[in-house]
Amino acid sequence: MREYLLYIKVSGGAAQAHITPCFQVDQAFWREREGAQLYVIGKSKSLALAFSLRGELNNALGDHAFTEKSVDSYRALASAHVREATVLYGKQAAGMTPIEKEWLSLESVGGSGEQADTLPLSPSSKDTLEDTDELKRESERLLAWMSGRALLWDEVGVLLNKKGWAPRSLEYCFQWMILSGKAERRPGIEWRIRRSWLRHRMLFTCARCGSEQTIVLTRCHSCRQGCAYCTECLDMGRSKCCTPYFCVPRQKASQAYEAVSPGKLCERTVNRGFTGERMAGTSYERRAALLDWQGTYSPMQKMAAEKARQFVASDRPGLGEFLLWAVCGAGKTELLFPSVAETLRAGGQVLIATPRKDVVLELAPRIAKVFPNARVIAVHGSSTEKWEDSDITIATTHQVMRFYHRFPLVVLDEVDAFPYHNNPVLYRVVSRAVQPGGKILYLSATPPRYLQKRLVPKRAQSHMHSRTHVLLPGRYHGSPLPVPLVCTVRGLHKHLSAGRSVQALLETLAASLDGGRQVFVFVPRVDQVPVVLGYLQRRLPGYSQAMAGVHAADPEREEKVRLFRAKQLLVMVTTTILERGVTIPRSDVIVVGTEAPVFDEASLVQIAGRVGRSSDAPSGTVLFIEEYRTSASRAAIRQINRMNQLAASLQQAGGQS
Amino acid sequence: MSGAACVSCGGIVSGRRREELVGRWSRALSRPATYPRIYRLVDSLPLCSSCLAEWQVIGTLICECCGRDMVNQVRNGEKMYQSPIGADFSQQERRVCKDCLAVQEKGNSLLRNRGLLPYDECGKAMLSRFKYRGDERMAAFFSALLAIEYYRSYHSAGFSCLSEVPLHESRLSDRGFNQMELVADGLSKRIGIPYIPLLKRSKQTAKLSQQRGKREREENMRGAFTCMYTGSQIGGIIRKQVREVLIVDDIYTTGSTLRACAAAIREALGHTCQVSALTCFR
Ligand SMILES: [Zn+2]
Ligand SMILES: [Zn+2]
Repeated sequence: MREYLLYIKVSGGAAQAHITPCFQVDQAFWREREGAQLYVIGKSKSLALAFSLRGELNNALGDHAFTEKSVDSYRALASAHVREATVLYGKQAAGMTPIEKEWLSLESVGGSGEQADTLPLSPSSKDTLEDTDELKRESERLLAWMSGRALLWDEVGVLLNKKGWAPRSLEYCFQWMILSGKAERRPGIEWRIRRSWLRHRMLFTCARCGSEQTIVLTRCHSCRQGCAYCTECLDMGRSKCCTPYFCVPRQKASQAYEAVSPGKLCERTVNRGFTGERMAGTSYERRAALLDWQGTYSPMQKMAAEKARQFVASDRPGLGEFLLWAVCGAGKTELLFPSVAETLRAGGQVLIATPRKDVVLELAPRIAKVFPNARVIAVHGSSTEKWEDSDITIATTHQVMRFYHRFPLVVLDEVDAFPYHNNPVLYRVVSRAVQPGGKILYLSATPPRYLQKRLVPKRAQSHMHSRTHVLLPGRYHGSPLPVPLVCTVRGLHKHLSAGRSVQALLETLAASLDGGRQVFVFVPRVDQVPVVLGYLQRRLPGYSQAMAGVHAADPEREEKVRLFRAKQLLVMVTTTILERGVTIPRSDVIVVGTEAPVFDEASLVQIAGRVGRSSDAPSGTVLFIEEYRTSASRAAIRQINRMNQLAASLQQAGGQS
Repeated sequence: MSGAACVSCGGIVSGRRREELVGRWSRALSRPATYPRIYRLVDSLPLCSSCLAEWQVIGTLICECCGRDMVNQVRNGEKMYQSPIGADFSQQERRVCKDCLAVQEKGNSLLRNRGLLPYDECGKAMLSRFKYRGDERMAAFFSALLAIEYYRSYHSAGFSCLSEVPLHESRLSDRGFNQMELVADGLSKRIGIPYIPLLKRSKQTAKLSQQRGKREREENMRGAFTCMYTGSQIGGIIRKQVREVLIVDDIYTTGSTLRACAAAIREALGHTCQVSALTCFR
């Protein structure tokens, strides 16, 4: 059980409140800096309480000049704050009983409440730190490992374990780092008191994910105080009022990698356009930025990639976000290469965050191949390279939480598919992983409205690009996006469960299969998978062996998708889980029940985008079957038509010039 | 529990089909006297219709000592034995499994155990979310499971109080909470039997996975618990009136933990006191 000491440090007329779990380190630190005097206020087992008190004290200290006599008034201020918080916590934790006498307590230290507790008086003066050299060394080393990360106490343990290193006292090292201004210790859950005329309340915030609505109060046996934990980010370990959460911005010094394997550094011919004059920085960075990609861009792709690169290279203040709006099948991964190379060349690290683990696994080798000298790691829940250092990190959203002021460039792939889509948690987490002044590049085929509003200027809506966005309306192979056909069938679901003929469905499916194509059949809900699958198997018995159904919780999901890719299966009845990611050449799409709310405009555009992706089969059929007319399917078709028109006009303009 | 997310699959908890299933399960688990209570409890479970449809509940043929489901065992030819209940219990006979017969012969301080669910993958996932992830909100779910089993198996028993299997202080401090304390507290409110923490874990035992055999585990557990009450009053109840005590735990694996708890309680409260156990998983 940790205890946090709260004290005021006075030097040269300026006073500031500090928190420490190991006062002897603070004493040693300030001893090295002349003239500092320390006045102990009290100690608490709740880091959140100490943290909140520090804030209150620093506010008060900013208002008045500090005199030795006023120490008692600060102690009184602290006790009053604790009393108020205790009452409020008790109210909000109705039905729970505290483990100790009070929900929150600040104990006095040393028993001499009257006298100012100055330097020599320490809570454990027997254990004073004489020699700080080793502490400094260990603290430097810890700093190198922690650089650019934000971790809970337990996660620090996992990281150091992985690195095979244990300092003599981890707590001491952190405290030295914090006093040196290189790190911050926050409680996992912070609280503050909001006062209003109606009632006063304690407001809790998760320091890690930023959630406020998902905090649950708990009778905690770790701190034995009124505590709380966050249920939003629970999967990443419990963030509590009493768990220290360390945030360490990336340090320039720690970039010094321990020797890159020389075999990797064989000079290769550098790809078009990135040689020569733009090469700056140290030789390591130059090598890491080497782009080895033999593909070519269409004129449209070239323009979009260059716009994104310009955004990344720009040092214009305030220009922090950019939207790369590329239709399904535009080849958006390739568009990133110049931007990534640009950042690496400047000595920065790149984070590519993507919503799903399978995308991480697919993307990592592709990126590693084109950046042969860069260290690329795939970071997801069960990844073994989670704690490695790297030039390019490809991570799932949850893992992004563990980074802190680390990356000058963060790419958010498929921003509309994130689990925290339209949730402040995502922005909080991503903007924290970015270095101050760094850049966020959003990638999407169907950017959500709020992002369009923010990054696509009104005036520029007919233009392909602005300072904050670029639109890529056409596919890399130049053929237009297949436009969905819509068919309204009254009583669709009754027909299906009764086994009656739904002509449009059966004819389209049979035509595709007879033409040697594979078909995705999308249904809105899990329970409709077996219904539709059974229906199709009975109606098209010739193909019944080549049909399967899949949903998110299906244990055989990966196997079925594999068989589908291998053309062992020809028809896949699926929920929206296959809406993205799985691309099958020569496939068609049928959506059964477009009227269901899960099929919104973005989802339907994505689904239609499954078709005609490969250059040797750039066309195909997309059929929406709906019970009644819906606005979502019309909007999706409108969007697809608009993209096709834009692409056509661009191609024409390109042809004329 | 309408509209919430299913604790097992994340689906939506509502719908006509679910209502039907709740009714069916309630009838299967209850007698007329307990039907309304069990119906409310089953309905309160945050499980969706498809999870309720696949729900496995320990059936009618069980070992009357440890509460193990014997349907498959008997089908596979395993025998059940008639066993007199130890010298200081009533002389009534009951049908027990082989393991319990062996334990019985050495003297068993635990009268009986009952569990509601088999410990399958789904149960494992839910328990680990509660216990190791620390999702304390799951306590309501687990206490409802125990309450269902209580009404099914122990409705006519006269427990004076219920208690949980405690964690060792150092583990409790690491983890921050004892999942069974939360469940016991919730169960007490549901069934109206006072929750009194009787026990303290005086010996830190290795994790289950680090122990080798049944025997070693039994050996390790011996004396791991002590009863905190020695006076004449137990949390407001006169000690002499405590005839039957219920201990709750998440899972009954070999039973050595619960037997050690029962032994500690009977050591302190006298051997006329009978201790039964109730677990979520068996
Ligand atoms: Zn959180
Ligand atoms: Zn706590």
